[in-house]
Amino acid sequence: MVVETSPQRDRVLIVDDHPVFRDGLRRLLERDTDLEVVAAVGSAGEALEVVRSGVIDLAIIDLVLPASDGVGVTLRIKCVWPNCKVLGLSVHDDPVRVAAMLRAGADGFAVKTQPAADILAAIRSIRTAVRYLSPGIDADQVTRLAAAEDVSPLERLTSREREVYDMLVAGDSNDQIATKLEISRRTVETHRQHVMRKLGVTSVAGLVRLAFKLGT
Amino acid sequence: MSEFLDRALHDLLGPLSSILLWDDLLRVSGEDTVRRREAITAIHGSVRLMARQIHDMLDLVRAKDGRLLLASEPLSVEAVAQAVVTEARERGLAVEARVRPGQILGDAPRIRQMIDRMVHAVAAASTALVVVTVAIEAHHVVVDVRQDFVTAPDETLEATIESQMAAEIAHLHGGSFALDRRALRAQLPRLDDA
Repeated sequence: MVVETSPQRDRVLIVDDHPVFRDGLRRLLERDTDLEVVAAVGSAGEALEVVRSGVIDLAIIDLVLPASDGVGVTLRIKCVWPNCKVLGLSVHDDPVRVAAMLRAGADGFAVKTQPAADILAAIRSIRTAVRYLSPGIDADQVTRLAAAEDVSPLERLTSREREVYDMLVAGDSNDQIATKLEISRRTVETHRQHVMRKLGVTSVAGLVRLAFKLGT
Repeated sequence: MSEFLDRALHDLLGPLSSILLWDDLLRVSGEDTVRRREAITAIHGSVRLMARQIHDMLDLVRAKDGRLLLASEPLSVEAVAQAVVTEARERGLAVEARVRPGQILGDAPRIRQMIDRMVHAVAAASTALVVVTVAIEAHHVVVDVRQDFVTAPDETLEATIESQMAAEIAHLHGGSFALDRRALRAQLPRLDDA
């Protein structure tokens, strides 16, 4: 992957799997002479390749990405470039998801349907170390969730994984879950693997013990 | 239904946010005709995507209510697939067809819709070449749509409105629908066995 370079301006990485929005965002940022978009990519894998290839000063990261999510990408970027500012940008404004991004190290969160001027304002804000949250997001709730030390591990699951988790804990077999959710058995198995990996257990018995502990 | 609505609204917000962003860019593009054309193209494509998604959502609701009526006539799946591929290429997608003759009893516009949605669901994962294959396997005509480098997990492909629509049409034709990390696959009963 070829990454453009310029020592004077902030080097920006855009990570968004919607190509039309990604291109628009690049055009928007190109209007700001203090910013240089060094890469605009559609997946976590491509993003990490860019991150490894050179300094990133600012990353704008979508929450939902193929085979990954913005939280994971944010964690990795902050690990490699701790001074990199990260703006979460998504159609989702769910406080739980926004809080997860902030816990991962994001410096702000904007919603994609906000005016372009607001998105630029969000970027200016986090570049000056002032946290930005879209006005439509309940900032108090997000702050509370982001600060919570004892966050339920179930928050790591997607909504579909949570359904599969609930059914596994209730004693349903893979076939029963496949029938109830109208998906293939193979898909159920994939969800099951993801659930177990994210929750750090290796068996259904472990899931049941965890559910008992969490009171779910 | 709440999951369906959640997904449907999420899918609509994608192109809507693109429209809003490019509309803002269009307003500040001044006399730059290249930028203006680029913005108009982006807005037009996103509006068309939204329209298609809304039609699919209406069709899915009709199908769930048993109100989606299908014709049942002999039709050549390979001809339909070839037409979809030609149209997709005209819209700028990199698509290739590898088709063998296969007849089913079915509704040609709906089968066309099914293959079209399979192509779009797979193409959304990356810009890599999409390959549409029509083959005969035992008692079925099999439509297989894949990319070589798709990394989207099943849940990503499965949850899209496009995949749900394609699956519904396959089921309404007495067939089945499946997906894995690299392909969407519809199996439709062959006319010889109907």
